Amino acid sequence: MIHKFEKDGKFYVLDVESLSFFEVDAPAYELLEEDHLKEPKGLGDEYKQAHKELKTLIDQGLLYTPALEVPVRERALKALCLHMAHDCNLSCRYCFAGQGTYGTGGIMDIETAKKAIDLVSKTPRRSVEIDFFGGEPLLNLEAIKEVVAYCEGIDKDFHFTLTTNGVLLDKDADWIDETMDNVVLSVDGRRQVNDRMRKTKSGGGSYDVIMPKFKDFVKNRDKDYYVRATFTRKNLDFSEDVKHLAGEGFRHLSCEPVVTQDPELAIREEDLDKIKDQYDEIARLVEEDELDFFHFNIDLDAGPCLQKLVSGCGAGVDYLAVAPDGKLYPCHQFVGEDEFVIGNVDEGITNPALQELFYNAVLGNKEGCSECWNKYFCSGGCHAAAYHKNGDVLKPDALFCEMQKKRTENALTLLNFD
Amino acid sequence: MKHVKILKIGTLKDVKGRGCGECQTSCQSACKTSCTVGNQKCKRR
Repeated sequence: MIHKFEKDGKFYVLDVESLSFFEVDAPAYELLEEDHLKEPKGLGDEYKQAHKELKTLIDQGLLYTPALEVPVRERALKALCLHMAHDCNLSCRYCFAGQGTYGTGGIMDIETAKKAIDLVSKTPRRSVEIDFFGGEPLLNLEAIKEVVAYCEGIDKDFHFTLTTNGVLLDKDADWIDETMDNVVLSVDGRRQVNDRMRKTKSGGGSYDVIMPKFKDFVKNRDKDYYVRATFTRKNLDFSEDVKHLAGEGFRHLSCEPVVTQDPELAIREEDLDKIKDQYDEIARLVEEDELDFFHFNIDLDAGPCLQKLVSGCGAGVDYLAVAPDGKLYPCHQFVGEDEFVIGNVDEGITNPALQELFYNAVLGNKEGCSECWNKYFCSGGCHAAAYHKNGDVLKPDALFCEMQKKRTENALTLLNFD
Repeated sequence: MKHVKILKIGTLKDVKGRGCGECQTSCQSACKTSCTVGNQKCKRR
């Protein structure tokens, strides 16, 4: 299978099963069908010559490469999303977590957190990832510090990530900077866009509260960070928000479609053309300003192996979310949904049937994925998005698929092939 | 070649010795709300 697309007057071809990537001229582009090369019968010499070149590539195994069957890799828990606080000091309108509470509230105590660390430390892997998440995790900073100290006594390579709204980021910023391998900073871009959604508890805008703290935090940071914006159908011109954030000095940016059931905010199919245009515009910004935009950040040399790509995101098996009460969920987006309790920190997995569902939610079992050209970039997409849209983790959300495809096309054309 | 420029010869089929499972799980970089496995890094490369 191949995927061909046009961008800025150039013609591109991706060989789906090898991820070889080509630029072609118009005659070659015309001859390439998704699953076969057309014969140049009745066509001019240019087509015949293009056909000959393409045929050579096919013979070399670079085009229409057959799929290589590899088993999903051996799976083992190796990452946790610790919900340090089901509470928040902001009140964002689109919050998928019920204003940070997940309908339950609660703060994770250190004993629960330690049990979770003990659970993940049994992994056969060397690398272990811990995400401090919420609500707002910095509402429970002292416990985060204790967790990190506890991990220091365990013979694993821990990798810490913090996702924060920034309200408390000025407290112990140096410790956070040194300890966290990656920090995700949530702000939506332009002041009016941010403040329409990301409100303080008293109903005011949060932009002026958080932006100085974010700027100060990244000023001298040499580890990873991402400034992460959310777009809704209220700001379908979100490239302006990316531009704004870049103008404020942030170099590592992400802009994500909102996850919400709110019909006023949720992305609709009719928004798709506008959204695709925005990704094109962001690609231009990335090229001009040498920004790092998360979704364009693919590497055909040092990216994931095929075994990983057929295995999917790992939620429910490699990765679990831990609620403050010690319940385990397949990922943070299922937290608070009773039917998705997969275990607890005391007993480990208590719902093996649910884990089996996620174990089998791999690329080859997802509806429509095996035939999709973009399958090795999304690996079957987000289980939570699929479930919340279609009631089935195996049925991807088509809208997200379309956005993902557009991002991949832009990412490919931004690669430097010199 | 006149009609085709090879930008990248893919290495996806280079599967030997890979699949170690040491890489980052995919929701941990920046998104948290959408699955982007393809832009993760391999720990060994």
